[in-house]
Amino acid sequence: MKSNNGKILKMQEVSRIFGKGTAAVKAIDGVSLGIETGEIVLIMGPSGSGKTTLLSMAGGLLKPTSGEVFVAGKNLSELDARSLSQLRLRRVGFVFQAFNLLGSLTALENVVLAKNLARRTDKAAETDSKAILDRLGLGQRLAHVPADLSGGEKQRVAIARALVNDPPLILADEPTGNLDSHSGREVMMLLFDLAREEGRSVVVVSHDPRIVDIADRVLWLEDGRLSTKRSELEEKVRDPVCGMQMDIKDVAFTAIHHGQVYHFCSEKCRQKFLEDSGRFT
Amino acid sequence: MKVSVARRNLFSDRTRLAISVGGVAVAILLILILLGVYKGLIDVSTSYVDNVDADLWVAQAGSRSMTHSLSLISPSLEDELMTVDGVSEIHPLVIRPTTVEINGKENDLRVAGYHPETGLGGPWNIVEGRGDPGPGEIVADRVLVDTSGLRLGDDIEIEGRPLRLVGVSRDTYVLIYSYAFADIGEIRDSLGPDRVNYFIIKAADSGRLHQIVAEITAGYPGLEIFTKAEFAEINARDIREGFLPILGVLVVIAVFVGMAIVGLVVYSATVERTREYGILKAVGASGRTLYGIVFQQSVLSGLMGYGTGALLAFAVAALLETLVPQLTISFSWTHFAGALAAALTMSLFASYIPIRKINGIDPVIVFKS
Ligand SMILES: Nc1ncnc2c1ncn2[C@@H]1O[C@H](COP(=O)(O)OP(=O)(O)OP(=O)(O)O)[C@@H](O)[C@H]1O
Ligand SMILES: [Mg+2]
Repeated sequence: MKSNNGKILKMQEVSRIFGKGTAAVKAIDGVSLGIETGEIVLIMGPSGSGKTTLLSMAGGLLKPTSGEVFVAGKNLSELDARSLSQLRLRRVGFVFQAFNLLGSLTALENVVLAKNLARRTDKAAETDSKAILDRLGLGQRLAHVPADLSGGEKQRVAIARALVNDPPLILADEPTGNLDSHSGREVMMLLFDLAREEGRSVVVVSHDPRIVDIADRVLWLEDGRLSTKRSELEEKVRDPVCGMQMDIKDVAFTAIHHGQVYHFCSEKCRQKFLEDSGRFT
Repeated sequence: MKVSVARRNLFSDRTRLAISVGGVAVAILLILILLGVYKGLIDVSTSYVDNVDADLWVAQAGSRSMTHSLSLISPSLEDELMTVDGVSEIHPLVIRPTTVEINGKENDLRVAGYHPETGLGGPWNIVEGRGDPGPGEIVADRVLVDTSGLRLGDDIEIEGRPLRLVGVSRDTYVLIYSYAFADIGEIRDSLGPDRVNYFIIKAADSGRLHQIVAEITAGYPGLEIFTKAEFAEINARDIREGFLPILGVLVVIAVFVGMAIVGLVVYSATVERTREYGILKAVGASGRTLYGIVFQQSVLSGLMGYGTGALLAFAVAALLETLVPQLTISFSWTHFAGALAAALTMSLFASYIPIRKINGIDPVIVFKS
């Protein structure tokens, strides 16, 4: 029985507590969330607000302390370890900030391996993998190992790996966090285009305010609680270099320094900041 | 297309692979050499009995192996036993353990006294001189001759009687003593008057051995009669019982050493790739798949180590035999099968701890940078 009513991901009253007693941290506090098929949802929130914790539970990598998670109609708490692996393999595609490619394998092999895990070892496993890498603009990089690829290229390989088993749900945790703004933008566009074309749902955690316009919906997570109030988005921010005040949703240039997000009026200010961040923080 | 993570991981660090393969190879080499030395010992300890072309051995009742208890029987029985139905030849043998001093060094010998004109009981592999010692002559083992600097024509004093060296034999050295061969007349007196140690019998027709055994057992309660195979087995038993426990302990130690080396290497390779195993878990690899990756690495290094160790064993055996001529190393295919089983056992157990390590990896690691 499908209890998800067309929702690819459904979380009900999900909480997660880390630690015990006085050291206990309530990272997620009674979150309910539904993601429609084909929907692109952006989750924003300050550092430590529980974004990664939420995404880990959505992908079946972490068990909630209470509440239920359904992916493609399956209640994750009712699945054994084996079925949970199968679900991650075939229903969920992960994209991480740290790329997480296997260092000893080439770009193509990293993608084919995901096919192999899904018991596909035939010629088609290879052609499918090549085709998707090709669509991501990596046709000339198939035999490169991750060490010989740029950050943007690595993330595109990771996206290919996430998509190759045709999952209806993509979970991405700060996929542009390790990329410069140009390749970050490119990668996000590619991911969203592919998802939209094929009707996949995407939940992306990002600090990047420019994604706001592309997303179907933006959710705000703070202290483990989810809201639709874009409190931060209505906020004014100040460029630390030139001192200019701006609406956060208009900001096109950002940088992360020591886990903190900074906003800039222009690439020039951003460059200045990156050259000598100490002066401005 | 099938991507082998195991093979990539294994071959990505050549030094580590070499250590792992080398570890198994040394363990396998040790096991094969130990088994080879053991089988060599068994072989040489029965080589005399094996090479005497007789069907039956007659000893004094109650005397068991040549090493443990002296068999003394009267030579006059020879004529009586010859009349037993089916016996075609019978010859007396004296096997006299003795010590000879050559150039100030004591050597343990077993002098076989036989009738050289029959050839039965004499040397079977002559490397120098003659193999049929006449009166006042002796044939001695190559190792004894080489180590004591003897030459053909030299005298060896056996129980106060000088015998001239006329031939050198090989395959007649048994760990701590060597065989020498002389006319039975030269050595029989040392046993006291009117005694020999054994009779060896050739049957007219091998189908009737049982009948001969039965008849002699019934008619001569003072005698004990063995087939050639039984007598060889009795003489191998001492060595087997003495050495097998030691050998067993050494083989087990070798297996553990190999296991520890492969285990350590595969463990370090696993720990180094903790994150990658976490990634594989996160993207949906089952526990079985991950164990398979570890197990394959350990089996692959086990098999490569086995191959290397087996090749090395041949080379080392050849080298040892030239360096230590007393040593006989003898391989059999069962040793190689056993060593393969040992290598696979090493691999199997070596992957246990790394697999436990993998079980403990939390896939949430993928979100950390
Ligand atoms: N394994 C853990 N054990 C204990 N506490 C944890 C664990 N994982 C997360 N936390 C805590 O839970 C809270 C939420 O962490 P989480 O990583 O989900 O935040 P986040 O929103 O992803 O932050 P960031 O933007 O910095 O990535 C934090 O206070 C964090 O310290
Ligand atoms: Mg996070």
